[in-house]
Amino acid sequence: MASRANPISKTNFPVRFKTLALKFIFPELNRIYLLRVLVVGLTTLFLFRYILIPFWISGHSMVPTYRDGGFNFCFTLRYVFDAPRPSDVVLIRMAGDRVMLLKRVVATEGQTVSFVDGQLHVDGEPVEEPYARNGGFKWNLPPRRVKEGHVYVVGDNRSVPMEYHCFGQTPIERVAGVPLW
Amino acid sequence: MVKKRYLLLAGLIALCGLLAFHLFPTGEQSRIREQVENLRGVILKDGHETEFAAGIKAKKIRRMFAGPCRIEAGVYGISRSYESGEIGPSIIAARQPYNRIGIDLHDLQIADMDQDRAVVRFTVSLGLAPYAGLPMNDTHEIVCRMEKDPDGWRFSEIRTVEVLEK
Repeated sequence: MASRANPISKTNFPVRFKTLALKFIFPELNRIYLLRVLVVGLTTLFLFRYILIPFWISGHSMVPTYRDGGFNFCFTLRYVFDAPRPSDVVLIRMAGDRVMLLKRVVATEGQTVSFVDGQLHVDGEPVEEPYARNGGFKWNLPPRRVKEGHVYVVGDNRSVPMEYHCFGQTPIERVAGVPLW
Repeated sequence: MVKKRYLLLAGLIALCGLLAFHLFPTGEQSRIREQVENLRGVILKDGHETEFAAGIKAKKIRRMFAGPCRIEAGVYGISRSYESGEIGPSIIAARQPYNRIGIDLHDLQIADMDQDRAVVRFTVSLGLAPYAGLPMNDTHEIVCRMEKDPDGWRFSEIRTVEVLEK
């Protein structure tokens, strides 16, 4: 038989659920609650400002891998204990991290990069690039060595003349992170 | 218990002060930012610009630059010094082929600053719609040197930074 002394009973469950729901939606503004809000707020701010930076993709240089208008997060801790490797997609910082370049690493320091009739060559050997989109433009670039502390990056969309595509070597310090997916 | 409250209050006030210092720039910094924003404003073009308006912009540009001023934009094949009298007409002439020019500034930082010199770094996104040809977008990192004179902060050098070296 239900009684006030025993609120946990089948007949009181809807009332208890309603009380809990109201408490959740309209919490009591006490110190614990305010502290909780502060901690969650600061953690979220830190996480999405420094660790998982949200970004929108603007442009076609990484088509078909990443399309214009797409959304993603830049994971900045990827290279804390490691260095960028060929075929990694990376975000490259400019003056800050509000606008970054999204490119793919094709060569690392000490390697030689060239393009011959649209085909990427690293250290004189042709490189298989299943991710690249070619469109009939024959890119030709004489060999050049990647400097120490640099990586060579190119976009996946090669269906434009080489002069219109922004690519080249950049210091590793400019690599902000990698897309989360 | 009372002392703890005062300490907490003092800590909060100090934190607010630090945040305000970081978020709201000092007088000279805000003047520098305003001058960079003014430069953006004179380079913008909305497609309805008359010759008279362009002439006024040329005068404004002249007042924003110290003479001589160096412009280094290797990607556009520009690398020379301009006297104060020629910088305005040169920039207006460079805008001529374009019906519309959109320009957005990001990540503006004052990298180095003393009483009468400053180095400013930012990213600029350009949207160019020429009269003939397809529209194009471009993004560059820019470094500017600025000098202060009695009339305010003026640009003495503007150069693009080669982020990706082919």
